[in-house]
Amino acid sequence: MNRSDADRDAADFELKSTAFRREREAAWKELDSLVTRIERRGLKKLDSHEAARLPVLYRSAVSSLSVARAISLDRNLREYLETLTARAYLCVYSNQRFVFAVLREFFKTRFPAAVHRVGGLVALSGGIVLLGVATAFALTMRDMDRYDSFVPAAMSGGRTPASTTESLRNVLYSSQASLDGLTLFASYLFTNNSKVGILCFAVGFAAGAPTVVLLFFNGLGLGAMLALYASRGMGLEFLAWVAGHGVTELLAVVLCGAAGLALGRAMLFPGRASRVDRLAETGRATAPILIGSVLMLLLAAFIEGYLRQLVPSMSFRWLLAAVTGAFWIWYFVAVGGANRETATPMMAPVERRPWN
Amino acid sequence: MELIRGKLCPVVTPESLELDFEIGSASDRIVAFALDLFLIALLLVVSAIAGMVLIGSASPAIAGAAVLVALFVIRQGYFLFFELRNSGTTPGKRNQGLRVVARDGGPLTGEMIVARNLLRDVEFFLPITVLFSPASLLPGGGGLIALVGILWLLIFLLFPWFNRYRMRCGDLIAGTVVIRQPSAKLLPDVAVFASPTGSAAASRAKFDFTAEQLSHYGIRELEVLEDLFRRLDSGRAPPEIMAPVCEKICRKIQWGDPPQDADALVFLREFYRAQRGHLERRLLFGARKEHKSHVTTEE
Repeated sequence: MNRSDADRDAADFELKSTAFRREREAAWKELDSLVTRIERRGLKKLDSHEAARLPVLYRSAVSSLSVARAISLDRNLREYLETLTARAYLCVYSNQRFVFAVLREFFKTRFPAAVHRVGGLVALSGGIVLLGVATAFALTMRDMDRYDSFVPAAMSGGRTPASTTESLRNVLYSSQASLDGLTLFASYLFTNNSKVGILCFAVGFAAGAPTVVLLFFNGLGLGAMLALYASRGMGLEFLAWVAGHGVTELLAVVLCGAAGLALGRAMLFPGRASRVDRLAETGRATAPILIGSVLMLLLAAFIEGYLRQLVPSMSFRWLLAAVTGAFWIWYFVAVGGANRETATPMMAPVERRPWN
Repeated sequence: MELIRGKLCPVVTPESLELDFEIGSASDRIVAFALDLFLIALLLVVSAIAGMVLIGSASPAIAGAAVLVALFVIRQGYFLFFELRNSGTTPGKRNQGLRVVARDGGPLTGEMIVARNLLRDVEFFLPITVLFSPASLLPGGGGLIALVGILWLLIFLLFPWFNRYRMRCGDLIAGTVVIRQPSAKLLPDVAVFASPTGSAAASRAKFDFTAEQLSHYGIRELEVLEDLFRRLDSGRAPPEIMAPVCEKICRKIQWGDPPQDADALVFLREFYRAQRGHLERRLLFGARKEHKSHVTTEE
């Protein structure tokens, strides 16, 4: 019979893949039990010795998997190693950090840097809002009947061309109802504005067009109301009333709009990367802007609901607007510019990945 | 059967190892989302009740404001909180064995989680609101606006079926993908078995196979045989099915008379070991014989 010696040896003695498994199996089992515990109770429950073992065992599993793919035809073994490595990978590369450190990093670098990187789009987004303001102002000044089509009844709060000048003035100066009423009003404003901001961002991927429309519409309401007050000779007073919180509030909406426009830009002009990659990268780079903006809106609602109405003096309102305005400019231009490099670049070439 | 897995998504880890994750199926994701929605609704009801109790006792306006903010925080924060805290799982996802991972193979960052969950608002909550109260989108809007809501909802709901990795818009923007939490058990090695004489596995074999006899089958047939042994060992297949398999193999490799009864099982086990040894050795030399009609260059 023509029988090869090698085959006879293989039949008589242990297979290489079996020997491989015998040598490595203890480490796999140890990793398996560690990973199972992390999946159930989280990374923090490991003691220091176990936490130190995890990356070591993970790397050894990675190498075991490479070897198994090359030499073993035991399908169950290969599948087990694939899943074990994948589970360990998810544990090793999970992102569990201290809340305080995350917050500090966010306010010190991430948020201002993310805004600074889309500086041009912030200007564009702000321009669209101003265009909306100017359009509505000009149109309403010519014909007060147009006011109702720019300002929905729900938002006007009784301030319509039909109102008397006296009642319009009252809105600006009365310390209004009681403090209790203001609390409710402030939280309504906050949730409402946040929804608008989030929407401005989220619809951005449709080439940015819906974002432009939303920003423009936001400007329309303000412009029409400004026209109403201007026609009664209270234009400056109204501006002071709005500016106290409006600087923060409008800026937050404008920032959300800029994030939405960035998504639109990624969709329209992906550059050398694929659209999917560019969108993903832009979405990640602009996400901090959204979080920051929602917090800014919270601040704006606080100013609007409490500070402004408690002190009904024009000069205080201008001062408030100037201080918040100066602060945001410093924060985004100086702090953001200084940290720009630490954040991941947005238009860097994207490496091609196997799913493209 | 273990052979059947869902669609795969390759993820390259920082160690340059390519791992294939199974994409979370649409049905599992819908169930997970429904579970999460149920929990959100539960939280909303609880906070509303707490608010009412507070309104009865303390200052009503402050309680009202607190409820308003709580509703916003619960709706926006539920997914954010759980996905951040449990690295990509929510209670619903965990129940269905799903998990969010980064498509680029790196760690799942906070930005990704924020981005994918902000989009959820536009994809689901907003069109639902429009559907139930069309006036919220356009004052005085009626049936036509509700229709817009339905269309809007449909576009986003169907979106995952138009890309390979079942990504919804939020996943697309965030660079994430929802996968099935991997799980597999390590079973005993089929090539290790007690020989009929009762001695250890490495004892001399009862049957000898020539290189010619081992050159017929490929990896696929080997894995089918492995599967057969696993089903036999776990009691999912009766021992009688081994005899016809044994006869078929004997015919293919021109063994002569097939071994009978107890010998058939011994024959099959030893054939499996010899065949695996043979194919693994060929594999080391770069000749991967995928299946029986696959001809490798060296043959």
